[in-house]
Amino acid sequence: MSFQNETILTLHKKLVNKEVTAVELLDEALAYIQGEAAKFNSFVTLNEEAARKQAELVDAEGVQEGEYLKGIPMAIKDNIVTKDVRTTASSKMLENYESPFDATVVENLIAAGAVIVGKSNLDEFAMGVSTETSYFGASVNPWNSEVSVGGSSGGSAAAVSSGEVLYALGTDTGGSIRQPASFTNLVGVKPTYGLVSRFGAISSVSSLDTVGPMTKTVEEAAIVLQTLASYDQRDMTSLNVKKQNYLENINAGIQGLKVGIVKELVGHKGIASEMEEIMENAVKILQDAGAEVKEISLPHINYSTDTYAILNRGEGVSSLQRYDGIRYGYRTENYNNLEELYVKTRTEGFGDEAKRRIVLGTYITSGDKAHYTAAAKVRTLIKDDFSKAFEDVDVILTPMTGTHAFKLSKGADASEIDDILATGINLAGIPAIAVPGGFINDLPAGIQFIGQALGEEKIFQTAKVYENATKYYETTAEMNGGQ
Amino acid sequence: MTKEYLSIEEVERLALNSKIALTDTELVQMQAEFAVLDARLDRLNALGLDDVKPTYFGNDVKSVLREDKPQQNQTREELFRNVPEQDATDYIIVPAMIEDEEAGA
Repeated sequence: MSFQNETILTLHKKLVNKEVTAVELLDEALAYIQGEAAKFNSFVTLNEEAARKQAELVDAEGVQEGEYLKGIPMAIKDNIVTKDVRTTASSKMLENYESPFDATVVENLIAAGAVIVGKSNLDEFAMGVSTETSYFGASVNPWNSEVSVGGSSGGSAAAVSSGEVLYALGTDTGGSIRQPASFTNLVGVKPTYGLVSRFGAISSVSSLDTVGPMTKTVEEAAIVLQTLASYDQRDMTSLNVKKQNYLENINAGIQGLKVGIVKELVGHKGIASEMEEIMENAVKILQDAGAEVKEISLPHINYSTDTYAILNRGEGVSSLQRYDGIRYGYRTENYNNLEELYVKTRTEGFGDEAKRRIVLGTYITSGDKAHYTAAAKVRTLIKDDFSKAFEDVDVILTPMTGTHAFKLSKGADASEIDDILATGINLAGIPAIAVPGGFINDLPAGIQFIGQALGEEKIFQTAKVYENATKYYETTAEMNGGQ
Repeated sequence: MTKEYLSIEEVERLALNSKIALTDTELVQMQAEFAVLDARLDRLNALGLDDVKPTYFGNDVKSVLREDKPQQNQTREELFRNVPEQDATDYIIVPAMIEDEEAGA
């Protein structure tokens, strides 16, 4: 049975009242994933044995009110390492890789009683925007199989949107949580850089990578994020800040909140007229709730794509240099010397997109490094633009994507507008939440609320006001003619 | 100023520096990609970046050393779990790195 009409909170209540057991929930999830939902290709590997042990433990202990994640079935993006089950990053290179340790976020979830049903599909090493670069094939958008589910956290999006699990973890380096959330009517949070430990998240672009939740509703995202967030000595960029309870004041409202609309994005050619209508409606909802909406300027936001593309390749090559066939991962079968071992292992083990980015990244990081330095400088300008804007407003509102999901086979790069809307936030290290914005041609399309560093609470409150007014999460893929 | 196109030989050298072998078709495809990258650089440089400081990190956290005390991490067995080729005494097998001139590689 699909969990499309349940949330973490509705199932939590049932677990507390002993109307259902954690083992029953797991069995329902597994039956659906292996049966009707197999067509979505959401998972690379299931984690049945460990999940069952955890569910049995939960049932033996019982679930107390407030232990929200205890006994709830969920999925982990397969570039986050788990001790109990292989971690592939959707690459042939790591097809049989079994991590000797759990990522910090996995430790935090297990401690909270989460039942990890399996590892969800992604673009190889999170390099792509549709899961089409996955060694294990693309995941399918439950809303319409002809359009992309998004990426790179597309397996997570498919798994939550189709109701295979209640929530999933994604990673967001340049929109990889928020863009698939936008394409599947989900909430996705890219947290402040450093709030959630990256220890055990296979690095893609280290100075931009973040780990965050994908859920159906804002409250659920708040619950998951406050479980993930922790100071971690094993991540040298981890922020040593007090643990927050985002749920406590989530219904505080937005009376007097100042919300910015980005001048440079208004009328942008990549933004569909239907998305402009969604934005106008969002502004009205926020104003009706007491917010003051004003125009702000991010003068360098349109340079995000160029900046991101260069930093992505430059840092990406460094992340992928460790896969050499020596200590772990794929090793070629036939070789005569060390050089041949390296070259054949990497040429056979990586997919086309990873290889493309490696070669481009090698160019960027060799010689005078002019590309890398210029991009790092424009990153400063983009970051400063956001800081200046936040002197005038508390939250910034933008579309999440220019329109709904694109048709399959468009290639591994995002459309320019989707990159502009997503990557600037990663470059600036600030948080953003993508929420269901409505429907364009019967397909979901999201909007996003952007906050200051560590301003997660405010964007949750704002998103909650919008969600209360629209309730788009109540529309499911099934109801909307999806599969 | 955009640099001239990299030659096919230069593209191949870059690929081999990163230990990747590209087919002839891939080399030609990649050559065009470098031009795209150079165009990106030109657009960024047009902003006039001489006085701008670069940002290389995701945040300003300064790395500190943790207390130097022994702790149990992974076992030897766990660490060897993913080694592609090993011998019975827990050594990782790799090809000879120094060639023997008389016997060949």
